[in-house]
Amino acid sequence: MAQVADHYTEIQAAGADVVTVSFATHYWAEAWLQETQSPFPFLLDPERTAYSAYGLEHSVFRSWNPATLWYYAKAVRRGRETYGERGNRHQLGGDFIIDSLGIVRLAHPSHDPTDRPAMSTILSTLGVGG
Amino acid sequence: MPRLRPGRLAPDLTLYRLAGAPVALSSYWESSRGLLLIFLRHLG
Repeated sequence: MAQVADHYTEIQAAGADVVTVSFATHYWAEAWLQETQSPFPFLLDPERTAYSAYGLEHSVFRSWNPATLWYYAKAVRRGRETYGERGNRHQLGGDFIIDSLGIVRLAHPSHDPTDRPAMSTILSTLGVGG
Repeated sequence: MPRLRPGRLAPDLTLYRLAGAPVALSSYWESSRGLLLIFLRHLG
């Protein structure tokens, strides 16, 4: 997400925007926002109805693979708290790009917690820099 | 669970701002030329 934040000015200049959705409780959402200083509008989905409607899976197996464990190890070494302590560790996320008519232009449900679309794909689909 | 594919209508749901106010997802995509919707995972 930090990568997206690095491009936020360009994204907004192109008339696009970014919204983050979290299933965290209000308390942990505030802690996360405080820590990350995320610049994006932030919405809560405590019942995970949107996660479900967008087809995002809940997978124990895929949430714990070597890439995820490595990510955690690096995060802990950097002194970062891991938010898995604070909610459902098995809920996968995803990235979607939606146009102004409400049509899905990019759908990238995460295969595992470290799986994200390439930044170049996000920017080109949003029409940034093109 | 249905897979949402490009070309389909995005589900419009009411979510909540941190302060508790309800807001429709569509209000964000209707006011922009493209909206990146990031569903956070447990890693943040």
